[in-house]
Amino acid sequence: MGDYLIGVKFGGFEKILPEALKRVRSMTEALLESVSLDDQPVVDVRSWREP
Amino acid sequence: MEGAVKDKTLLELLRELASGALDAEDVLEAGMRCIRDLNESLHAFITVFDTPLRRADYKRGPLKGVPISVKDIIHVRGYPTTAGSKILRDYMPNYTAEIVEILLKLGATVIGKTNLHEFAFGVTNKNPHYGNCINPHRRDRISGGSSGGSAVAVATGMSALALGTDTAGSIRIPASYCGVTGFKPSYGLLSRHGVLPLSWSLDHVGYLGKSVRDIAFITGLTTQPPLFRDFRRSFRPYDLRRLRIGIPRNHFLEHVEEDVMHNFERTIGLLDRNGADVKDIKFPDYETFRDCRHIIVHAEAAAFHLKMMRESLGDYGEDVKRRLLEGMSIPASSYITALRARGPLLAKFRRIFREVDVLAMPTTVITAPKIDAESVEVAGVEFDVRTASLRNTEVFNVVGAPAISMPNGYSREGLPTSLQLVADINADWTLLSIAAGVEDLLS
Repeated sequence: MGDYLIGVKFGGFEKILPEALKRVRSMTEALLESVSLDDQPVVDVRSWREP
Repeated sequence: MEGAVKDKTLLELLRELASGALDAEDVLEAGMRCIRDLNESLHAFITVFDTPLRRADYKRGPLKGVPISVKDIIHVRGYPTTAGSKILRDYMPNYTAEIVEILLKLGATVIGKTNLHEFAFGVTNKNPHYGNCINPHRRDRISGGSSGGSAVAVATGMSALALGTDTAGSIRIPASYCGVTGFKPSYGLLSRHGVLPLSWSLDHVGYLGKSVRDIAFITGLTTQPPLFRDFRRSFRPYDLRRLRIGIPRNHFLEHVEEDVMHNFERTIGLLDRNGADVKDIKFPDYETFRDCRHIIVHAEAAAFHLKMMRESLGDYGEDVKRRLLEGMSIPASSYITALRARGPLLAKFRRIFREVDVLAMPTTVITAPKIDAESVEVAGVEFDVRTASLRNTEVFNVVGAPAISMPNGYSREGLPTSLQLVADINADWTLLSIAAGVEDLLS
């Protein structure tokens, strides 16, 4: 990754990234618990229908 | 709107304009005078138009020339959309947002673009580029954000009404801190065309005003198609004796400032005594809602800002830069998992409304914090200002539900406190009707 992430130079911010990644990992684990095989991405809540 | 005029609600102004008791020019001049007197110290507006924008036939429209302000993330052709940023200081959109076009067509006068937390990505409205937006009730307090300028404009009488946006509480939080009414409608009810995004999936356009009826009137008038033909016939305060109110005591009421809690319990007691059926309920999976919102907003914001971050990272304020970089760390698989989790969360949320008509809670668990405060202590627990401000608002953007914040008193320090009512998705008109009934009771 170095000092760049997809073209964005984040010098000085590399310290926050491990913490952010840890937080995202933990949140993702919790969200995974709530989804089933039938759940599709909902971008616009108006298109959602109760299964 | 000086003197009595600046304190009038939108509907009061419209009645007096219709009867000839007031003239549109006088109403406009009174608002502009408030801006001249207060904007330098409160930083409510980023741009005040030299010539207010309105159509030649504005007097024939239902809004009759009343002054309206627009959050500076919403395009008005011919004026910059800075988004409260240094990066877009000179960005000139080549079209006007659809919601502003609708307001102009209805006879509104657009007077300027209001201050906001940079790129709408924060709740304090401390803006390093255009000045901190200051709370008119106490000058050592923040307005809250991100639609802070819109809240201050309405609270001080600079404009009768203001447009804002809400991705996690950005209309409701400043409305609560500044003592005005703020409404986030159901997702997509009001047009987002011509509004710079923070998060496409969670952004809502809505209004800040002086009363629930003002908000109901303008919301119903600016949906496509409008929600009513004759407002007085279509809109009635809800019969509170038929109302079922759910109080989600878990999480939402666990850590609340003493005066905020006192005013909330007083409001609920009043509703109970007037025949409403008040019951405690358990809100399901709060943390999952919160995590879902966090991932979606950070990932989508980072995607929107990617090009600007490559070119101008140093020009962002420190807090927004940090949030965007956090967003860069979110893998696509996490983001899509968050979008998938919305389905089960929607199902759980909607089930609540089999038992109740609305949820009620304080909009914010604290009153407006001091400008230099980084954290606040609430019921013996320390929270950073952002977390405390978002605590009772953010989850409802995940499901796109309508939510309204309305003043319900003051703290002993003279700062406003607010009640938030939340209804099922697309129950906007019912929610507004209920809120009007509650407003009548509180007045």
